Amino acid sequence: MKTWIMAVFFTILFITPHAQAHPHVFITPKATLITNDHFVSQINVEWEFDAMSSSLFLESAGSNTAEIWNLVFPETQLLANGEQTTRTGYYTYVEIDGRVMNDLIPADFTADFVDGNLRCRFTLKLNQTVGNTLKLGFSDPTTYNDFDIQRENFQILAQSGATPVLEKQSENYIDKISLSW
Amino acid sequence: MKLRIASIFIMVLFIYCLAIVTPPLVSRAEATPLVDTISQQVSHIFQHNLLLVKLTKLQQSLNKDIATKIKELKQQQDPLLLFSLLSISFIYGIFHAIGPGHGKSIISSWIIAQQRKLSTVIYVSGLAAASHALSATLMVGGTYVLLGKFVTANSQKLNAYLQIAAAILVIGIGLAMLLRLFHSKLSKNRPGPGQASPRLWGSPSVVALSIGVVPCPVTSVVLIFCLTLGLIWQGILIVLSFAAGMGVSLIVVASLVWSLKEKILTPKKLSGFHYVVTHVFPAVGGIFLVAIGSAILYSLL
Repeated sequence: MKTWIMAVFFTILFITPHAQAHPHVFITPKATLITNDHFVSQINVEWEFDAMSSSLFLESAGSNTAEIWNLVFPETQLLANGEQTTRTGYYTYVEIDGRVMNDLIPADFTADFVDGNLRCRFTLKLNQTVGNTLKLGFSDPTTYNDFDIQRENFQILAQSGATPVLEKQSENYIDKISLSW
Repeated sequence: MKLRIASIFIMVLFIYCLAIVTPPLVSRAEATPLVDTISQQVSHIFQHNLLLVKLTKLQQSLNKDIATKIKELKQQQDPLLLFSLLSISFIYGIFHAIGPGHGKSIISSWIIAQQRKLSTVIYVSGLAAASHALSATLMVGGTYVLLGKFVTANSQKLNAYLQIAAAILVIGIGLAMLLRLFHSKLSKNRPGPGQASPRLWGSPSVVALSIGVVPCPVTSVVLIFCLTLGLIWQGILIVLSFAAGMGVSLIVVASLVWSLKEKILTPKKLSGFHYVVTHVFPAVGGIFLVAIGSAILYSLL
């Protein structure tokens, strides 16, 4: 009994610091995946921010794309002239046939406000041949930004050949989009 | 025998907890790509479990509802709509503060390490929630009054400095606990570490300040959203309602920790756990606070 009480006691004490933050910004990701049979050339990504966070970005950075992106992803060194340093991540991960792509370098960053909601866009130039499956997900390890992945916000633009099946999957409570050929 | 088992149990837990608190220190040194970090996090039970996912979805829904209702309030100044908005903000505050965060750990460590009345515990929890919300209000309102605009790069820098100050406060509280324990070991006639005298670093206000000095991002965002729509006093009311909700959550968690500790400390059981409560708890709490404060500070510098 005493051990049980102690276990509960210390669980309450120590469980909280590990996950260091709770969600503050809510993002709805959307994407178009461009395929050519088993070849995936690029993924056009759009993040739509919640209305209240959007107002914060508007007040903080106006419509300056570089400033907005530096706020969205602070470690991104997006330069004023539109160039960028080699930075991977951007809360985005792609897995091809069970292999995580480690060197994602997004490009073509844009940001604008539509009906008061911030929309940030970028392109992932993959140029990879996929055997069976490709998985796309968005996740902020700090959980400060929450990504709400919905099936209807993702589409395939098949230029030729086989069109993969697109579905939403959940693994260990993390949602992701899966393409199967 | 029971004492030894309890002590070993606590030490094993403590080592485990130190290991999970310190990944930021390790991960920076290894500089692993973010995608690896994310894929590793996939199977992490603490960050991704059903309860947290549901909690996040609920907050997302509340966030959306609040934004919609604030826009409606701009169109029609309906008292019922305002009341509904305040109620949703209160609920949002409750669920926002239930989620993981170091504030609850700091309060819990402090409760475990020190002998305090329930009224003091409630005071600290309430003050922490209030200052967490009010520091955001002051920052947003202050920059607007002084600079004529809302959040800027300057206020973000100020936010970073406040986080550093909070981390230093947490380290200071932890060190004060350890020093007091060390002092009582050297001098037998001094009061035990469990009966801590109210000195600056261990005082309830400093503990509350160490949690509340960092502005709540949600409060800032809600307030700015209201101010941009010209809803000044409504925005302040919404922030107060949100803060009250956070206060309720913090008070419930802190009271639970306090009552569990009191349960262990009942006179019948005191003899077996007396040493653990008066010596191991303050040491564990102190070391834990120093560790978490250092981890936060390291991640900011």
